[in-house]
Amino acid sequence: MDRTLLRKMTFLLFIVAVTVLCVVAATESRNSTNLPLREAMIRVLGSANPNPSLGEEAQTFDRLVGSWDADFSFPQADGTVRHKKGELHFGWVMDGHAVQDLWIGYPTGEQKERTIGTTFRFFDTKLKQWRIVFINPQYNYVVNTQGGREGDRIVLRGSDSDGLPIRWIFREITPQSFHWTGEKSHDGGNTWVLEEDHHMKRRAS
Amino acid sequence: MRDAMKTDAFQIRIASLMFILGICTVAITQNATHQRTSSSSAPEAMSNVLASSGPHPSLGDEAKTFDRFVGAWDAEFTSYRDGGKVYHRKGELHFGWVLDGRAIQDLWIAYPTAARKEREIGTTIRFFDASLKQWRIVFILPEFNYVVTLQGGREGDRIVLRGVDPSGLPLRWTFSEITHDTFHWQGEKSHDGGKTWMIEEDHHMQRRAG
Repeated sequence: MDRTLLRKMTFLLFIVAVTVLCVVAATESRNSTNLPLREAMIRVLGSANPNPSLGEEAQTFDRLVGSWDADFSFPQADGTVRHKKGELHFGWVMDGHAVQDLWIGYPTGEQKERTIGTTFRFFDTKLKQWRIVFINPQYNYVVNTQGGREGDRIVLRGSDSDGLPIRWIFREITPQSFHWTGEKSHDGGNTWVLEEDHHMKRRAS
Repeated sequence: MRDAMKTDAFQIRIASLMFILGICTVAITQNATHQRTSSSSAPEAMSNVLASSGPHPSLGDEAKTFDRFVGAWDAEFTSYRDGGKVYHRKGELHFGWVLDGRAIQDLWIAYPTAARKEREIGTTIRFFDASLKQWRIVFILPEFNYVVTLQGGREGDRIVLRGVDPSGLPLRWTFSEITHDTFHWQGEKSHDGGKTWMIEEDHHMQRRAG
């Protein structure tokens, strides 16, 4: 009799324990997808698609939406090249009125923390051009460029924070890869110096 | 007979245990599936990587300037335009740390009205410029082809940001009467090089319960 009761109690405890464990596991798994209120901004920011008002122009940057592994190269004045790896993420935001992206450079020997910059891209309906604002807080850097598709490239022009003309070009764009170059002119746009030369490969999802 | 009853009871226990385990497995798997699609589906990957839960330690005390706005707010917007016209609108604001906690991004949303079918949505990026020792702000409102930059920081119990609007006129944006659950925001413009200021935007925010 005592033994039966003990067995019953043990079994009951076991059932309770299993149920509690399951509930905890299920709740935790759900909590990690429901961001706390402090992170609510992110949930409101993202959009699945471009806004229909963009029409055909949406295609300019829509093909870049997703995640990319990046090989960054920075040609130096002395002829050497500095290399860095990182990742890019592009996504529609603000009810599909803009594309926001992240440019992340992984830590290196001299830089312990990763670097992270963001770009906003929206189509200015008056200028009939894409306007771009790139911000990298670590370098106190804000720069504006504008432009759009030129043939099979995307060319963006602007002035660097030192006032010199810059030219950013997306080229060799395929669904799985693209090439990005950043150039600067020291003679008012006659000649261009290649400062950034990056190759991206789409991440397998 | 007793043995048979015992066996029945045992089978019922086993069956109920299997049932509970089954339900739990389904619940966990569904959650896990949901998590997987939300973390790796391409269009949402950007915002998942963008978000940070708090300010970067390098910001130190400066983080407090905007950290107190993190969260969601209901907004009462009042706009004054040329010719004495006054417009009232409702909307919402969302503030959150981004870029490894080195910047705050916010959204200013105005709900649709009879004249405008779609809601309007603008965003601001705010970061502390370590060389200027000031906060730099970029506000972008794509629907109005509008980009404006301002800079500033705390002045007493206010936050004052100064800049120039796209037409070249001086702008001043002020956060005032800041409490845990409310704040007041004014946008002013000067037509005489900063001698006198006209209030164009006068908004009151209330923190959302939650």
